[in-house]
Amino acid sequence: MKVLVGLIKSLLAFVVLFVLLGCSNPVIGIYTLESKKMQGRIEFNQSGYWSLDVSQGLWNKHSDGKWIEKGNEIIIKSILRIDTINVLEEYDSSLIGVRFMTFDFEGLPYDSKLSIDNSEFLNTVGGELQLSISKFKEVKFISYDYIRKVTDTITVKHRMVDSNLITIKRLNTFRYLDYLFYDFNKLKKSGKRIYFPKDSIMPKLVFVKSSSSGAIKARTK
Amino acid sequence: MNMIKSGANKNGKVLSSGKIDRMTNQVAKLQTQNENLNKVASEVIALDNSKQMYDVKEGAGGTSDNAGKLSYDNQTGNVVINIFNNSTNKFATFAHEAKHAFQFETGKVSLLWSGGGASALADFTDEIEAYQRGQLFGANTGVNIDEGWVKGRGQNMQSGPIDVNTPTNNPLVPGETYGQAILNATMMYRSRGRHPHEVIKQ
Repeated sequence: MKVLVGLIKSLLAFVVLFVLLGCSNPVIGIYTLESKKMQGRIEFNQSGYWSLDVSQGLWNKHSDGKWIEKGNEIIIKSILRIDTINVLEEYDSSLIGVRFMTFDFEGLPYDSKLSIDNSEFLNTVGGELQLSISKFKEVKFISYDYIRKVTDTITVKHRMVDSNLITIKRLNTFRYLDYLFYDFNKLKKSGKRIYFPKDSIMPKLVFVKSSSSGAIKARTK
Repeated sequence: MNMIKSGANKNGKVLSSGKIDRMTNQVAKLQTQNENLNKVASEVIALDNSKQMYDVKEGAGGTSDNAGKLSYDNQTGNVVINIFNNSTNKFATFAHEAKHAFQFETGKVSLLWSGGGASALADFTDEIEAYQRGQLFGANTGVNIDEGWVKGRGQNMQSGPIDVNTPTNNPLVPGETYGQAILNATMMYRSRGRHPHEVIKQ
């Protein structure tokens, strides 16, 4: 009888171990794209960052950011957001009127049109516009990405009565034509495979795990 | 050609209208192929005569269906035709990428400064031309290469055609072309001590 119980216990322990090993398939690692037509790789590293590269002929795409795993889903978010914008209001006693400055995050002037209380002004060379007004109710910042012809409008309310220097900074998508912007997108995980759903830019992609470590291992003889 | 004109074979036997049609089609096909090969020759000569240096490199990587790449080498300033080892028809892969090189030469394609490949000017018409060029050398035989077919390979590009002379329609810079916009951006980046995002043939 004792032998039988022992055998059953061993069997149970083996089954538990097998199930645990079978289920534990950590997402961390490098995955390569399963495709004859395209090349690609996605990497999830231990510190919670991921990166993606996909290419096919003239077409190249890249993204990177933070990831978390929830059940059989991986939720990804890009570092960059297409609508990232910062508005800074300051007071400059040397100014008569209001000065608007439009830059990208690298400090380069940004082509834009400012609609201030329904009057339209183009910013001047160097992303600057100075108007001899003492205050305004609202400014609409209209930027043009000439490559994708996307127009967006950001409304800035004039909150501080005593501010006269308005700096508007935003992401210059011209610098990121090949970047994919993800915002809490869900990927499916099944075994060693990760499934990217089809969207307006990307086709459905399937990646298979090729390495459990993000580190490049030196080959030894 | 003479047989078609006379309507008889070399023994004087009259050819059927079906046979004449088939031969006429064959001749037309060969003439088109000949024209295309002449085009290839003239494009290679244009690349050879260009002040832009074009280089060819073979290396690891790629897949059987994605076996080449055109890139910019920011260390040398050369445009590189990369042929990957996984190519099953290196001649066709070279023909495809050389077409992209000619597109760069003629302002139809811009390249990322970082070496990542093509950028703002790339569109379906560029890729269709390149696949058709590869087809001339035995790749994707019998396939009707069009936008739908290229899309089916996973690429989602702008329809085009877009080249350096295409207006950007940016209301802030009336009359501006893509070429000017890229050069203006390049000048701005350089003036701030930064490398450009992409390069075009100058």
